[in-house]
Amino acid sequence: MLQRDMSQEFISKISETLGNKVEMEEMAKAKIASAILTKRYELKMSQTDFADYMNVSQAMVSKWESGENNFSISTIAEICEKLSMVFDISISKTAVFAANNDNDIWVKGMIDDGAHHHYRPETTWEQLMLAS
Amino acid sequence: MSNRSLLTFDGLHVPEEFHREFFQLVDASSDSEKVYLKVYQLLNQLRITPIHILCYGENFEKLKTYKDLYSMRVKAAELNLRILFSYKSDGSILLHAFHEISGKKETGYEKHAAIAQKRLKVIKNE
Repeated sequence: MLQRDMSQEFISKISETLGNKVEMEEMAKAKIASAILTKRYELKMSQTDFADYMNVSQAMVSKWESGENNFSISTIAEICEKLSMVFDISISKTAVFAANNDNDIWVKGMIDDGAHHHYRPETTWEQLMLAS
Repeated sequence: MSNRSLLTFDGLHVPEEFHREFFQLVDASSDSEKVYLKVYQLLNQLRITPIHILCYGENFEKLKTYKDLYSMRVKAAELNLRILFSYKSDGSILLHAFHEISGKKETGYEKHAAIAQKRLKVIKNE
């Protein structure tokens, strides 16, 4: 039996429950978690050894790597300094191109009123603002 | 208000069977929101981190005796789920979700791994 791919519906249902604020938080936490786990992998350290190295508890390392910790900027800077890494924060307008069909693009964000709007890729931000 | 995800999760495949099974398992719980959050966290990590590195952590593992199968640990509140998944040429594919009740040992996965492998075989043959 041919199975339909429900990935869009799957993510949409989860996303509706969480909301964009939580999504943004989780995207950032996932990046931090990934960077820390990758570094521990490169150092070939167990969580316990890594915890000693970072001067925190093993439970804290577990939270970092699971993306469950609410990091302060200061903590991220401390971690990066200790691990010879740098971090940067990128903030931009909230237009998100979630799908692209026949030259039409779904646009949401600053103009989101709950409806889906179709705009051509060449549509400028000024035009989008006027349309909203 | 309709909420479109900020991410498109390109390369993530969710077959109908898995979709139905997952929401049946999770929506029956009063902690469904916590499970959604955990799944979102894990899928985000899966999206940006190579699987061999994820398996160095505690939430992902390669099932040694089952070719091409990986397990994702979804522990949220009283729910302890496992999601078995695999890869095809263009990304990851979620295959089977179940309650982890038989301990962490891989031997407890036999029945579930068989379901995942069967679904994977069907999908790869499509």
